[in-house]
Amino acid sequence: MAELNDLHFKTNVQLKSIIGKDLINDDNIAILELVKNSFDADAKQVNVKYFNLKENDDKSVNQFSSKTSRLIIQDDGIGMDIDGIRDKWLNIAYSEKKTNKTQHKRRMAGAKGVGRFSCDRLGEYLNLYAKTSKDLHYYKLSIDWKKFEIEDESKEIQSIPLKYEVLTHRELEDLGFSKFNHGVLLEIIKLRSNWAYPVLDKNKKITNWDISKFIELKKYLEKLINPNQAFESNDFGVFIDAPEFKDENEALDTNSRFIGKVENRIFEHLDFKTTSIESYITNEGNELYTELKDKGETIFWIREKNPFLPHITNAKATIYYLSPYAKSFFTKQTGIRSVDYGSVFLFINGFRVPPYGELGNDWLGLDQRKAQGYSRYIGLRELVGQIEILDERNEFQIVSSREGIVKNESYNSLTQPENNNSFFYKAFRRLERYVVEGLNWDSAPAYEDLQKIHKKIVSGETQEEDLEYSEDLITKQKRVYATIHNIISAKSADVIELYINENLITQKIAEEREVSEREFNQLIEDFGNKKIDADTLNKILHKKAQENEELEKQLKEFSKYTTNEATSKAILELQDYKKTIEEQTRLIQSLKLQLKELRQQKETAEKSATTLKEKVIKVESDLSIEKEKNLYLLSTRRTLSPDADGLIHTIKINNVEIRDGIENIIDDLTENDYNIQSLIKRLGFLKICAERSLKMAEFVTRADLKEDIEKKDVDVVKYIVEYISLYGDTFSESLSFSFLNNNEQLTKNLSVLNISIILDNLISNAVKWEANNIQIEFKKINEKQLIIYFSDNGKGLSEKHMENPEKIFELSVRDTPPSGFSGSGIGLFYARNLLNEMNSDIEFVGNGLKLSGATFKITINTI
Amino acid sequence: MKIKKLLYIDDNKIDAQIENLRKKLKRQGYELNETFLNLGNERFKMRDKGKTILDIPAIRKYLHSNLLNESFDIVASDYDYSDDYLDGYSLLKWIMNVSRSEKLRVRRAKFCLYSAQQDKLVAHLDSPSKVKELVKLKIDDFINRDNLSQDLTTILVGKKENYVFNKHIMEYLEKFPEYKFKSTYPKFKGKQLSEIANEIDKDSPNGIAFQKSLVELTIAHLIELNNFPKK
Repeated sequence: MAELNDLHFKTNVQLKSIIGKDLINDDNIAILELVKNSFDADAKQVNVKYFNLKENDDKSVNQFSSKTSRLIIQDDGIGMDIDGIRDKWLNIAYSEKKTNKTQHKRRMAGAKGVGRFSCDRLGEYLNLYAKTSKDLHYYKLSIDWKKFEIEDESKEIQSIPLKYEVLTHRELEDLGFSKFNHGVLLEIIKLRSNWAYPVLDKNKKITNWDISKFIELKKYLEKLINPNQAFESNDFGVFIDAPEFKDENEALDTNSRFIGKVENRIFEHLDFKTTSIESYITNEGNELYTELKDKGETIFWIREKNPFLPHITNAKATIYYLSPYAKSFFTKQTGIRSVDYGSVFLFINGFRVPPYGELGNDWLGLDQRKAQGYSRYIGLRELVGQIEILDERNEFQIVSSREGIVKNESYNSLTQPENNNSFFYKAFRRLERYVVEGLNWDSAPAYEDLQKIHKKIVSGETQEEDLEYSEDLITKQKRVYATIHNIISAKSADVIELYINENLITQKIAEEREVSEREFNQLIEDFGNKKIDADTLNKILHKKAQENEELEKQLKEFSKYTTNEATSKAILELQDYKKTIEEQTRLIQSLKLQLKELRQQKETAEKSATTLKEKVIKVESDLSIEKEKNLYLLSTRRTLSPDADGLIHTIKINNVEIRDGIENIIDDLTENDYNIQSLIKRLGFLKICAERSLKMAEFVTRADLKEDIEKKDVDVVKYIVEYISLYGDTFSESLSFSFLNNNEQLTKNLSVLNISIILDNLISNAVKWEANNIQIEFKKINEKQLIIYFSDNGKGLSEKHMENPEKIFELSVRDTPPSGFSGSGIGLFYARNLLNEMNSDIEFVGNGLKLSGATFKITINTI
Repeated sequence: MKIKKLLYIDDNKIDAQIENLRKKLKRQGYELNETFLNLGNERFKMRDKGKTILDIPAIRKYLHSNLLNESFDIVASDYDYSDDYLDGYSLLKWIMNVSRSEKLRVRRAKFCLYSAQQDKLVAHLDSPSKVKELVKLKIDDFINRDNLSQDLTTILVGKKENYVFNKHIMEYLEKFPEYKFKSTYPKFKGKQLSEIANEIDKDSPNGIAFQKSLVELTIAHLIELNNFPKK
């Protein structure tokens, strides 16, 4: 069996270059590493100063002189003593940071322990001056990197001696430096790169200096620090200075000036409104919180179980989508194009990991992806953001070339695009879906000249409120709402709590509800006005059913998650709205039924109308047959036709009086309780009643029967004239009448029956006493009184009555006229009686006054 | 013979019917004392726009001044006055309301409407409110004119009247209206009996209290009267 002997690694001197200038191929990275070291040494300030760039003796001098180009990186950290220098600084790959995770309250930035070799990259010589606060003196270590650049296989790195000195304050000052209490000063001499280029005219004269490298350095250093994560903002400052280029610096615009403190302005915040997503781990690594914002408003946030355990326990991603407008605003705020700024950066423990996110770097594979679907995916040019990781367990290891980190499982959990199953992609995909599917890229209108707008925005002429988009907010909101679940894309089992902007939900409802309500009311109105038919109703019902279905779907989706209170409330509103839709649907259905019923009713009515019509025709024909049969027995009418009203009334009253009157007389006679006078009176009264009945019969054909015969407003004169003209000659053929002053007029409400009977009486008397001419004279005394002189040319009142003519008005007083036929003696009695009843009177005035016979004076009074 | 007082209101004279009524009542042992408000009389008429109509205020005034404070047993009115503005129903309504609110004597009478054409009144009651009004009015009867005397007799004679205590007292007191009250009821001391009758009629608190006192006193007196010492 062979013996196991010992062999050892040899550290060839070339190692220096391998881990130094050959490894670090970027000046900015080199400076970054040195700054990190200062940071880790608890420095408050790091000064990066350049000297002797415009004019130097780099090309001519053998080693270096005071005129050689220099880069001084000085910090005020804790510094080092000789032990520190020997055991730590000179100890290759030793990193305190491996043992101390935090030092001086800061997460340690540099991890590899090779930052010191950045000096090799930057310059050919290095003088390191270090002092701690404990020491009184400075230690100066001088390194000539060339000494390590020999090809000798036997030469080991540790065999090259390095000289050091101990300096006092004075000695330090003599060297041109200000004293300091603690810290490290790196004097890098004979810079390997040109940091500034002279601009020559055609005469080879220097007109200007190209200082873009400085600007780049500044911008690079700006991005290096993530102020959010590492420390309080004022705690650490990096200062660049190049005294030779003061004027050139002044000539730059403020954004580009490099002399002074390096400020990280980018991610303080983008103070214009963008669409962004933020996702971070909380609750000791168990929860993943993601919030999507759009122009200041939270669209949704979600708390889920952290699916990336155990690799991602403390991370935060902030990603901004830059629409065309947003890009312009970005430029306005930062001074550079977003494209030049970079895309998504990675910060670990506070310091940026280059080259991730820098211009041209696609560490997340975004542009690759975009190529597969230009309109579906967001690419690098539209994105800025950062991922910040707090890595305590060293899961993320920076690659020794300081270019990126090791692609281990943790890296995959962070970045892999497959199934979006990584910290970055999970968040990014949500943002992408929102922008693409929800906002439809939030694009500007097609007619907008973006270049023009860009200029206007950058100059400040156009503000945010002036911007126009190709779609209005409502449309976008609606689409967002419709796709929200797709956007969120969460497994309900993983969801702890979900918040969706209630405005999205209620906005959707509000507008739709308004429209729906209007439509519905219109529908009801139309229905009322009978402008609706079954087809339209069906269409509307169908539409409502669709709405309902959609709402159902959405509600179902929402119900999967535990939602935040505000969201829950909004969901309730949604449910309410759904109920409204359902109710409307019900109403519409009932309307439909009503419509159907109405139609049926209409049909039935039409049918029965036709049937009735037929019946009516039949009945009419039947009736005409029946009518002839039943002439005498017409069914009782409820009311008499107005024509005969007055007449019937009078007839009834009159005849009831007759009937009762006779009954009374019979009674009296039966009981032997009578006297002749009274009997005569009563019988006379009955006679008058009978006469009135007869008179009525005559009047039936002549008078206007609507009015009451017994109470007629008549002009007395006119009536008398008319009456006599009509009936006067019925008494005797030879009788003639004459009138005097028959243009007089007196209106009185009286019984025309009674007047007629009175006139009849008087005329009959005159005829009995052989008159053949009667004169009637009217004399109006005043508005309310009319005198009528009734005279005849007969024999006049007989002698025996001339003494007391009043007696002739008594009952049963009579006189025997020459003709021999006397009256009943009741005529004048009732004449006076009837006249008295109508507030009038009659008296005998004399014989031979007007004509040869008697003259009676009738006084008619009225109201 | 007991007297029955009738007030009848009509625009026609119905003497024979009234006479008939008188005979009927007489047979029943009553004497008829009738008062006729003849609306045919010109004093109750007026002119309105060329037409003669009933002067309602005049009618009411006349009634109120002369008739409403009389103790009629019955007030009967024709329904149809051939007037556009007044009919028997509304006039009776007025009489009943006024007499009840002013506690006039006529309120104790029976009220009847008669008509030759009862249909007409029926047609007039064409709404529930009107029927309600009629019912509330508590008119005692609605008679067909043809049967007036017979129906009025029935009402006047009618069923056995309930004995009304205060009516009896009133009537009795009014037999001696001039006599003055002496004592045992101090509040009425010095008042004429007719005045006391009036108090009773008006259902005044004093009138009622008096009646109560009378009853108590009388019963006490009767008990006392019966307390004769044995002989």
